Amino acid sequence: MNKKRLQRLFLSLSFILTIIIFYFLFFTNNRVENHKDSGEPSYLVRPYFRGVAEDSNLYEINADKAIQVDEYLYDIDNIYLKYYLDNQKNIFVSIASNTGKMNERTKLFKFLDNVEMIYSIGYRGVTDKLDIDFKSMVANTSSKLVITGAKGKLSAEHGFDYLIKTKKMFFKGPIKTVLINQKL
Amino acid sequence: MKNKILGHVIKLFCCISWLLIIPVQAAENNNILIESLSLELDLAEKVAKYSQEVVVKSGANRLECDRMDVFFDNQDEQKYNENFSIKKILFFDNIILNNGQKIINASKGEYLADKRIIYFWENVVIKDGGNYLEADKVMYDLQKELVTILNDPTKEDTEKKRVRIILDEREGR
Repeated sequence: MNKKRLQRLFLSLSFILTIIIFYFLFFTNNRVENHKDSGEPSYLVRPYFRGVAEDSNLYEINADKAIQVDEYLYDIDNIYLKYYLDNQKNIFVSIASNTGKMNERTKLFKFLDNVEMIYSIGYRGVTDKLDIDFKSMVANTSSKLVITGAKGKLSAEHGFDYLIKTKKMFFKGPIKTVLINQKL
Repeated sequence: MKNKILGHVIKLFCCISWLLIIPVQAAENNNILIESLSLELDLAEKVAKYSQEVVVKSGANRLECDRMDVFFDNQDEQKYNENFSIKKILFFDNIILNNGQKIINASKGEYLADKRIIYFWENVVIKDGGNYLEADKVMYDLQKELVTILNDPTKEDTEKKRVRIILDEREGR
């Protein structure tokens, strides 16, 4: 292989590398693409939102698609929210649902249809719908809620109200709790 | 011949079912089932406050009361599943403990998990077969199934009962 061929090879390699780097930079830094086709509502593809809640903890939202209903309101498909309860200790709650609604102005999030909550310390909650108000820091649902973990199971027929600031949960019954490997 | 084989199959099925049922029942006995109409869970204070028609089932014990506060012990929040355990339980109003043999009624109770004992006080009544007993305060040892009748230290001397009775049901009384 002569010197000229080697130079050409390096040049083409660097060109390909530049294209790859540009591609990743574009799609990672500008994941929100605004589509405004004629007649169709404006929507965002693979949107990523990041915010700070009233308690100074971070929250992130990923989704497949967000349709902009009005200036602040979005209808979201396959929404995934990660809310850090403790930024330092990496303790978080993640919430995923098939559909959702987000109001950027009021910071009110509605999770609808097949809602799954994961608490990083080892608990999983399932319900039909869940509202989170990041202004008043309240999460609530009136649908049946089932929480499972290695130490037991809790079910509340009419959901719960969770005051995030004070770390208080008010479950609405009838309530059933099973504590595994514990006895009186 | 066919009937003989069928008989053996039925016997085998019964044996397998019996073997499967035993571990399930044993596992259920090691669990605590709590039912109520409302629950307040305070993660900061590590307490679960059950109220309205509270029913607790654990092994042969069934306890009913109006309100129950369960205090949890949890050293490391990040390892919640590993360290989680009950520290103590407070019972309030219309308490009925039934272990299948004796029934204890009281207005207040406190369960200490490390000792596996429950203290009952205020309006304590014990019914054990044909026996009926009233006391200021009792201590029920869940492990030994032993009831100790105590004086209530909060009561005035004139109100205190000097009699202290110990019932041991293993003695066949």
